[in-house]
Amino acid sequence: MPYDHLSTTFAALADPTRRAILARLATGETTVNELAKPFDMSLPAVSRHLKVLEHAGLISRGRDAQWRPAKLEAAPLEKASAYIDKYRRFWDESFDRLDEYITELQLKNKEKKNARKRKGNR
Amino acid sequence: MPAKEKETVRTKSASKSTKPLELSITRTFIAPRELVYKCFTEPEHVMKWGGPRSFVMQNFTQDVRVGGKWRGMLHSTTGKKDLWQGGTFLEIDPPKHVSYTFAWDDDNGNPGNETIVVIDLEEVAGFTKLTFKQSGFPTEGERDGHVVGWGEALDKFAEYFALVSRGGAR
Repeated sequence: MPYDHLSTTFAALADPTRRAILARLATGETTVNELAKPFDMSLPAVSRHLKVLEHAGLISRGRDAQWRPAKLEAAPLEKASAYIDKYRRFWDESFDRLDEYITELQLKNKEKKNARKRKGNR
Repeated sequence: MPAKEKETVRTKSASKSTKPLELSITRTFIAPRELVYKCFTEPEHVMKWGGPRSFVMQNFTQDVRVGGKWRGMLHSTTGKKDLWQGGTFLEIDPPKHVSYTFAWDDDNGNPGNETIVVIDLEEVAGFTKLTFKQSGFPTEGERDGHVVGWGEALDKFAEYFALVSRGGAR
């Protein structure tokens, strides 16, 4: 079930704080203490978020029991964005069709108007 | 008071974060806004364009009012599985704004993960600019353990896109 991973990724990304943590980690690996600062959150709260992110494979953590710096892992994020790209193609293609349909519709309306005009002129 | 401060700080940092879960598309149509709006909100029009190529929107119904439902089936013209989708209207402000929930049916005919679609239409010198946004991958309900439904919807969607890619639709 390869999509289970994707579900876990999206579930982890659904939280704005966790997304902010990822954005922070995108600038480089850092410790829980550093991460907690801008959020004004308790260390255990930050740790809980990190656990969710780690479980989703979005970050990895150092082995050092004292420091355990967190680091961003790119692969699952890329998968999630690839999934959204699929939706983008779905809509892009639909909107291409909408564009064609609207052009067709307006041509028809014009023809109708012209026909009416011609009738009226007679 | 400290609690309030906390809230503010959190919102600030959250808004600074990237938004990996939102899809945003803009398009310009050479048509008046009323016409583009109709194409989104009148079934006879939706069925003429809804869905990617090699699919036809069928059995499309919509009750365009806040809380009203919409539903339709993407029928494959290449003999693949039909895909049902549906949702609920959230906001309606003709002819410039409409938003609704969007979900694929799972194998049992129940709605899977619900995403939110927001459509804004802006008229500029006879042209209509469409801003389309889709967000909410996935909902809180899904997060709280209904991962199966979300997974199924994903499976279907992925399956469908494998087909589209093979067909070289673009």
